[in-house]
Amino acid sequence: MSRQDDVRKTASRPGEFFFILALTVIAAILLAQIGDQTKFYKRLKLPTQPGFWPAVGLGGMVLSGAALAVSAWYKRRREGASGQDLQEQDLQEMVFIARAGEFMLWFMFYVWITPWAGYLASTILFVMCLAWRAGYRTTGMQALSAGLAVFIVVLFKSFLSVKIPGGAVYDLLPPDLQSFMAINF
Amino acid sequence: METLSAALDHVLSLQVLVALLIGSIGGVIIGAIPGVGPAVAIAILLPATFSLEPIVGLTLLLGVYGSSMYGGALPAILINTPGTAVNAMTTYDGYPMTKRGEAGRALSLAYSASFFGGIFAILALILLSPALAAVAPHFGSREIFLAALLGLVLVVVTHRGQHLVSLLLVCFGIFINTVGLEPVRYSKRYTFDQSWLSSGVDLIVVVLGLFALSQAFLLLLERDGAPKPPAIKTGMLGGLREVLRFPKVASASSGFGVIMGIIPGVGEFLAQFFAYSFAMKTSKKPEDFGRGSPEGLIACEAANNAVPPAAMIPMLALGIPGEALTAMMLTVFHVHNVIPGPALFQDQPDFVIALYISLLLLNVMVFIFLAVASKSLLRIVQIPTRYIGVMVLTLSFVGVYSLRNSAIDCLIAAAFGLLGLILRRLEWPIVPIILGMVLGGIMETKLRTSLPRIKEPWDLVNRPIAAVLFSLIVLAVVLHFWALYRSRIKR
Repeated sequence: MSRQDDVRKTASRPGEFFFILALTVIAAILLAQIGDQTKFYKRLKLPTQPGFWPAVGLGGMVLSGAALAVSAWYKRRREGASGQDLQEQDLQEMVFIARAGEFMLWFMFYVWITPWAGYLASTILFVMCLAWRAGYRTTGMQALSAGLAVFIVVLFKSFLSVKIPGGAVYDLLPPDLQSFMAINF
Repeated sequence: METLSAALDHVLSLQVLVALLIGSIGGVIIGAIPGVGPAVAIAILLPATFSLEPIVGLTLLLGVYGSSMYGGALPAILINTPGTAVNAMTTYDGYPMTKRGEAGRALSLAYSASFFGGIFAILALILLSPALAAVAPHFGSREIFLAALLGLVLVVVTHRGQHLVSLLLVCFGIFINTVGLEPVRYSKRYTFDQSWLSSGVDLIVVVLGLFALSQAFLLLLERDGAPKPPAIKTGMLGGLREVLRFPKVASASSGFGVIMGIIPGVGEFLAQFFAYSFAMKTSKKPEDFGRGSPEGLIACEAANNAVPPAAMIPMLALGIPGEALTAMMLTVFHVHNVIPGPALFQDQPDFVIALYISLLLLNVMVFIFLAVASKSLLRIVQIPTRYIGVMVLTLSFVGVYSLRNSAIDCLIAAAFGLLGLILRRLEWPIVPIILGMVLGGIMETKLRTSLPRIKEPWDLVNRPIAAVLFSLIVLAVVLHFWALYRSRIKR
């Protein structure tokens, strides 16, 4: 077995220690605020207090998180010589996760543009642009993406009648077409 | 007889049959696309079903749930990549069979074993119904509280090697569910005076974030690939005969699926593990397991496909979902004011029987569809990874935005998507968060309802069913620590 395999088998996964630590610290901070964030009624039994279940959740998170953090810390210390590699791996993992931020922004852009452009236009734009970004740039794939977008809109909005409001741009259309577009697309 | 006739009226309506057809074929297709899976599909479809009749919406979701595992076997066997997570064990024997040129036989065996498991579980469900109808009314608040607690305990103890992680995530789920107005006195909890937090964090938003958006992010970030599956040369119908040549393996594996499906919080993985171990121990050729053993393949597929109908048992009888998919379906019941639980069997038996018939029809439809269309489904397996990411991200929008047309919901879902991505990268389970949210909510309500009748702590467990449930909780915890102690001694 190679050294790298050895590290993978015994080590916590890259970034795991910091993730556990972050969760535990956040839970502890929230638990410390239980007095401010929940109401306490004098005559009620403890399990019926509004703060009881948040305390169970956060208390459990702090305890299990602390135990996991200690265990992950010992694993890292035991790895000794590979500590440098681990820090590099942690960093690489954080960069990987941060890269997902780009697609969060894509998603939120889609959310932002839909009430303006309408579901049909925004979906065609979103799918074609995202497909382009993902590397599908041929005319065939772009046409396929536009077709896919139309299919999704027709399936959900026209056929299943999901509640997505018409776009502000529909107000510019003639009245008959306006209501048709708002209902179906 | 009247009940059966009313149930048939429900099922034989055009809307239900169309939902069944779309759900079952859609489920197979979704299952065959590696990286999507039924959880993502159900999460996306969930809000769309709110405008449908309860039986129509549920049939659509049941179709996806029950048929996705059939479809998941296709890439597992042909390209060694499970279509859904529960098809992972199918690769052990399915892919070696493909490598020796028996792809058609392996697929036929997998579909037939799945069909056997599905029908076995539905028959078990139908046979257990009278018993359920008799026992369910004895479940009061404290029994339901204890059953939900048992579910959470089992979620933690069954995640081997990840007990603390599961506990942490269950507790996280419990906490998330408490944000907003509490259910009895309507005081605010952890809203930080933000009006958008007053209505709490919606389960569907969390589910879509954790399952769908995280999967989309992962697919878009990963290296692109379009697998090339081998051609299927033989027919699909010989498998059923071969499955019936191993009746012990098929029945025992389906039995494991039923038992594990009924127990909240356990699910397909343990069912397959027990079924596979049993098949290997009783086989005349145990050395073939992992190298293309038909018995191994039958065990895995029969066990995993027996779980969905069985998982409906605790949900219908007690309103307690055993895993993430039934937790999502529970929201459809609640939206339509059909409250699963003891009263459902007494008040709406036709509805329950209609669901059973739908499940039965679903398995028949899927089996016929796969026997005819497997060769055409090969194209679906070849969809490039990153393009699936584009599709999932686009569809996730419908799921979240159509709930309340709220950009805040979308932002929360995106944040949970990022969290889900981290969990996937760490190989941490996502299901405990969902079960923590759902079962935590049930526990809070039921405990508060039962407290006025509880004077001493002992009163919580002084009724027969409560005592049995409490004993099971204690037993699960004791066995867990005993297993930990023994593994430490061995080391």
